[in-house]
Amino acid sequence: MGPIFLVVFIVAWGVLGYNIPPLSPEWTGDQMAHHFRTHAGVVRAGMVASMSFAVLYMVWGMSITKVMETLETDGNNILSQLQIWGAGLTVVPILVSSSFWLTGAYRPEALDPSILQMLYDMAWLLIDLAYSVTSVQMFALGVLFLSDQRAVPLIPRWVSWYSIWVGFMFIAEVLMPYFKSGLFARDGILNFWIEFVIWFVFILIVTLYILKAIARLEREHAAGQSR
Amino acid sequence: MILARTPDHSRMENAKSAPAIWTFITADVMAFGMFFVLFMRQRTVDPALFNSASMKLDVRLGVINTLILITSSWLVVLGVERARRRDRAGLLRFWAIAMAVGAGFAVTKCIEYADKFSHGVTMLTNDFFMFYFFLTGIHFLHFLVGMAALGFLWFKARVEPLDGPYLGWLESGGIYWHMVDLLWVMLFPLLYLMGRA
Amino acid sequence: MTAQLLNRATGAWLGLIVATCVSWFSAENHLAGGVTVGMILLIAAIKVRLVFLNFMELRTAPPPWRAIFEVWIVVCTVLIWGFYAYAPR
Repeated sequence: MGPIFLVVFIVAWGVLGYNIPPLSPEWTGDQMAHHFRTHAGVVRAGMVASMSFAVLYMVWGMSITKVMETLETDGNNILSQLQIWGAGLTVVPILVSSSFWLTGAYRPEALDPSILQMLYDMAWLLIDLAYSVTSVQMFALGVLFLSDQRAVPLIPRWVSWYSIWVGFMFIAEVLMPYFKSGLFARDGILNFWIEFVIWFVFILIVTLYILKAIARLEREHAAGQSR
Repeated sequence: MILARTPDHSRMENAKSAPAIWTFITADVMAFGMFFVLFMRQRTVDPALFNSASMKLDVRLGVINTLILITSSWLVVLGVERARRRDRAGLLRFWAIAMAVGAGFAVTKCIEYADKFSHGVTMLTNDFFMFYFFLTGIHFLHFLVGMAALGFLWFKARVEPLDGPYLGWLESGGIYWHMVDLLWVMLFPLLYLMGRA
Repeated sequence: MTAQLLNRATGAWLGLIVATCVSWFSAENHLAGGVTVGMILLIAAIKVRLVFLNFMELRTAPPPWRAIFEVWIVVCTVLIWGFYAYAPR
């Protein structure tokens, strides 16, 4: 589910939606209007797919929580719950901001350039500043898997540390509303390229190791060792 | 039935001498390395501005900050050595002093920031200060996390057995703290010295 | 082993203090003329290495880990110095 989300997200939201990279905050209203009017069809398609497939992030998160639950043997399942909520609520900003971009592409010819600009801005502000929801997912995941007492942990400890690191790195997004150009702007090297790449890498790494963990749990269950 | 195949075992052996926190350290150090380079690249656009802005920083506070972190790091090392010898009292003593010294960093940082803000200098003032506040700010967040980690570990160290996995956590906490020190060691000349040399 | 580590750590600490003061003094007094900044960067690299090897015990870590950071120090320092040399003032 995770990689499917990722692929669709990149293709639909990113490429078709003209979000990779994001349009510069330095564009004028007229430039933004021109963008929406000329690319309306493509943006619409991209956003429709983006909205349809956004939920996969939650489904993916559910599989992670199921693995986490096998380690929560003392009845305290707050971390697995935080993870699934974090993953689930990450879907919301993706859905909502995609709907803003979609709105911009719906009848751009009738809308004022400043409104089109606002729609684009609003979408980015939402998706970026919702970072903490995803950070919670990453912290919960990392902390829980680090507490694994097995000799060989279910998920390698470095994956947990990477997860926690990405969760922290997202904090740089708080600078995004203050800058229209440079590193910290929505299209900047830090707040776009680095932040999104480390998120995508997180999705891939966690997917790989969750699949391995599931396989291992199934083997152990078959051998009569599961709880 | 067997929990691990050979690759896992050998990885476990290595894990003993390279705790998994090194992944976090690597990622963070690489990220900061990139920030340093981005800072220097931005500087080439207007080096005179960067130099003159840098001169507005109080270099003595920068030096004090460096000495504080270096000393705090050293004390943490001494504490870990005590822990390895199962000397709980020694560990607690050294780490308490390390945290007390480290707290000085927060004091000087507040003084510096307060001084800048009172003169109307913020992240939006110019490119140098954008980087100054970003770099020192994100470093300060790391510092706060480090202090919290040291504090948490210290409290648990009063009761945890020192010959088990807890020693590993202590070592990891120490490694993270040294990273905070190391990053500042690199930041100090870039922000405080380069402009006035 | 322990005594050696302690000695290394304490030696590193003293070295770091001295290096910091030397850097500061050099900067304020433009000690080495045109290469002052280069010298300060070199000192910084040495300081960082002291922390890696003597505080973080990279000496006894598996070689790949140590290599990563030794390389990082070199690459970072070179890049920083390169950008500086390109536009000193």
